[in-house]
Amino acid sequence: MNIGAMRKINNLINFFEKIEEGLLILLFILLIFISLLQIVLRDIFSTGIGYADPIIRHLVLWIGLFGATLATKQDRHIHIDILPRIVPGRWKSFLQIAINSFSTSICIFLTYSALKFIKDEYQAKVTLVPHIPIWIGEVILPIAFFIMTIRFFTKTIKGLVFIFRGIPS
Amino acid sequence: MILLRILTLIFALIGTPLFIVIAAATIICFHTAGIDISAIMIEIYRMANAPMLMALPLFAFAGIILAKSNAPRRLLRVSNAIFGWFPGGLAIVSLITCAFFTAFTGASGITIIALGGLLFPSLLREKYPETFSLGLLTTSGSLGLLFPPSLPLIIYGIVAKTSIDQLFLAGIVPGIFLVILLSLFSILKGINAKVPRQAFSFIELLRAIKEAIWEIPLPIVVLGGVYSGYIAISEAATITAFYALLVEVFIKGDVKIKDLFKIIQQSMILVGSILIILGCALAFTNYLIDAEVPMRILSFFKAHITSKFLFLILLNIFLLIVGCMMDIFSALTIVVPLIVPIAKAYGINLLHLGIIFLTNLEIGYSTPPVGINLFISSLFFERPILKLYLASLPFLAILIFALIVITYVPDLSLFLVRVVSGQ
Repeated sequence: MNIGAMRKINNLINFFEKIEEGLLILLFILLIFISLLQIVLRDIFSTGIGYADPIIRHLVLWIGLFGATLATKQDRHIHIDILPRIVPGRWKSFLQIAINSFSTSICIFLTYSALKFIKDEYQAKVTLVPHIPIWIGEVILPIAFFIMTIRFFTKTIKGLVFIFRGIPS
Repeated sequence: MILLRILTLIFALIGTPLFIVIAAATIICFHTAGIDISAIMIEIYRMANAPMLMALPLFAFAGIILAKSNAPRRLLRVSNAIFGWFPGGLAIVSLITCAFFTAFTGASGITIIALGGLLFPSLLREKYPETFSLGLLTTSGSLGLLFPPSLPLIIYGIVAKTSIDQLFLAGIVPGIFLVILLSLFSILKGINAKVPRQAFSFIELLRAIKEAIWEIPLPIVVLGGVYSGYIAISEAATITAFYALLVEVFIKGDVKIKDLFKIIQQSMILVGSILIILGCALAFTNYLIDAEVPMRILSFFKAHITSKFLFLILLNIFLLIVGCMMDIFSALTIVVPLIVPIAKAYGINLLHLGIIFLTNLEIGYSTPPVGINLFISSLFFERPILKLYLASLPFLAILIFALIVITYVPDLSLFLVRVVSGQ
């Protein structure tokens, strides 16, 4: 692959990562804002936003899943780390490739499952709040698992390149 | 299929992210049972139906923003002004401040990193033995899990479907009991090591309180608000997060706006890694419950173990092993749904069960050979892991004694719940 194309791909990846990080921060600020507004309205003015509750619960879902995709990027997922502490360095790269390729395949299953789920929900024509169909609140599921698939796959490839060429990723 | 299951277990042990392992196990089970794979997503999506879940990102954010500010230093000063004149004063101060932060950050290693750097050199300077200080800070890294608004308590409440308000109450007395036992040990050590005692100064206390005046109301917001019946836990979480943001960013100016984005990201990665496990575990355990696995375990138990007493011993041994092998969130999400029906059959109160669970898992954090706090301390304080194994032993002995008391005296957990709910 030529350098120009690679740079373009890298730029595109950076662009998507910025959107992902920005969205996570925005959604969290929204979560604080809406829930705070709800308290003020309820306790001081004895009213409230009628649909705040389902919106907040879906915000938490989105935040959690974006948190999980970022955890994938930064290798911060919770795992049992007995063996990684005792195996020597060279073996570690092999273990990592095994782990990442296994994770990739499981994430492919999960993405497929999420797409199928969204398709069913789309056809069910249920709404989250009036005028907004429920699948919009749920669409983060296939997106998040797709991002994780790509990330685990990239890590697998980088690990292989590292072993065969000795280039640190 | 058997081969696939063994393979999944191997992947768990070599360090695959646990949510992948749980998802893999679920996919295998669904496939074997002929259930459509999209059912997994229906289960994961059920997360969006748990109203209490919003407390998790909000409390996690509050905890991390506090840990990243100068609040640890200020609160340390206050507790030092109150307890510093005791024999073993600084050790007690360490226990109390660590417990406070762990309640907010949920023993994710943040306590050791936020406070260890301040406390370890001070403890050595005051001539506490190094082994004692290491053991103290390592075990303190998970002390406080029983105090509200601890994230593991919230997760237990969601998974076991018990009232989180009442769980928060149930944890208080056992939590204080643990702190008192460890404090007594610290006093003994302080006297033995001839640690110089400082004089009590009322002026220093006033100054310390004045400096930390904005942080001191935090526990009152959480507890006072909820138990006066004025706000719900999820609202307390919102107020705590907003209050911490207001104080540390705008009033104290400890945290810059630029760092704020990093803190949001960091806390949401923590939350994301917990929620994804919770989601996958919901799918997995629901399958197991549909397949009547808990019922089968129960009938096995009923046939062999007749007394509640014996059952509790076995439960403790099992949970201690789980606690040092697994992280607390995966342990809670997978083990709790399986144990709850069995414990119910033996007549164990679910609030009490929750406290037994968390005490065990808390001990597991510092249990050799693989307790995670030992590794965090080893890395952070730059000491060999074997030294930390030795350092943690006397503390573990005390904690296990406390566990036995907590297990066999249910009133320690349930007394406060009864008083507040007026039964």
